Amino acid sequence: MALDIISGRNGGYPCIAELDELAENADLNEPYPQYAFVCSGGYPVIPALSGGFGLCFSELYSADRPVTELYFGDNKIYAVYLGDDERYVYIE
Amino acid sequence: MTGNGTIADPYIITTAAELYSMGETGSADTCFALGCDIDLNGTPMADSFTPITLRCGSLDGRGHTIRNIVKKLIGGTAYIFTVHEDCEAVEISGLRLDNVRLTASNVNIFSGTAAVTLRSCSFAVRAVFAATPTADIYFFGGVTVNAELCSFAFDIKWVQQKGIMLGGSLDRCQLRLNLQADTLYSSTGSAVSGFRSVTITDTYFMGKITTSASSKIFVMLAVCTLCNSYFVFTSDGTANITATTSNRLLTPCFFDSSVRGSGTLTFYNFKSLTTEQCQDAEYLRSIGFDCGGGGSGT
Repeated sequence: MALDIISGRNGGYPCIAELDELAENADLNEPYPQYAFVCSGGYPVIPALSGGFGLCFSELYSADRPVTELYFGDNKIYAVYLGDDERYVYIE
Repeated sequence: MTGNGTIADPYIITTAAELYSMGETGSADTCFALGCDIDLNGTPMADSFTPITLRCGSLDGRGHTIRNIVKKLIGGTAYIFTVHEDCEAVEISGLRLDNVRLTASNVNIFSGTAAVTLRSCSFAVRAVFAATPTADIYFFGGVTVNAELCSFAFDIKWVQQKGIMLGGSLDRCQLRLNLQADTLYSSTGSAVSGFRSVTITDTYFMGKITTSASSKIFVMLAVCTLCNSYFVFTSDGTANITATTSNRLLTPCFFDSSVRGSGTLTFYNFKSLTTEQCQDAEYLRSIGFDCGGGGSGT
């Protein structure tokens, strides 16, 4: 039979034994894309950036969950610093 | 690359550069295989992903993963794969895609019009449609996909809900669909269905659709042929999820009516079961659904 109810699999619904457990979603796994903002216990950072860039797009994640806003304390963030240079942040 | 490009001795791809060389070195009959995981971090594609050209008869992933595919476009269409015009049929087996993030006016997995066979593949893709596409409105693209023993985890956000798969088949597949749409449809007649004219066998669909749209119809299935398949799907918001009377059920199929959420579930001709019934193999067999295992909770 193609479908079986297997203890501990697929929340108790019929599943296909040959397949891995179905993922709950398409969230990111490590190693993350190097041009994604990543929070690792500190401020969001794009690991790959080292200055001297024009327009850069990224999604925002905190603890592997997508987020849509950045705050410093109670204040929304509109600019970030690369070294001593202020760069503007547009969040869609 | 090592190998001769034949089925018995495929070219072995071990780098991102070799992956992208398929477009130049391949042909409609060439066979390629992955020799290792391919991580696009640290390559030119990390900064600006371009579609992987499939110029081959087959690509055997051998259980390996292509990961960190990220593309954001202002307008236009983002693709993962482009099937070369030389190829009428391509087979992809044993391939995993992970950490795929695509944002554009339109997002498709495949570009082209070939027949694509997927065997034992696992794709995890998050797609954001930044506008309402007017062409290639099905997520898999213009190709015909026949998938066997595959896993798909799709997180899709639409402005106007579009389709996922047109034609082709799903055989012993599992799908997790986390769908979000700003706009649905006011009637089944005007709706673009998620799956249209697909042959679905021994396959299950889990997931949800989230919307606050005033037009509420989400047609999950239309003009499909189904055997021994089921749905566990939640409406998280206002969506009324339906499978229309145009579908043909050759053997009993069911949906879990207990998890519908705040919307409605209307799967014509499907068996409407409680969660407990869905998880009871003896009960499922009693209604003609082919399923191994014991009673509920075993």
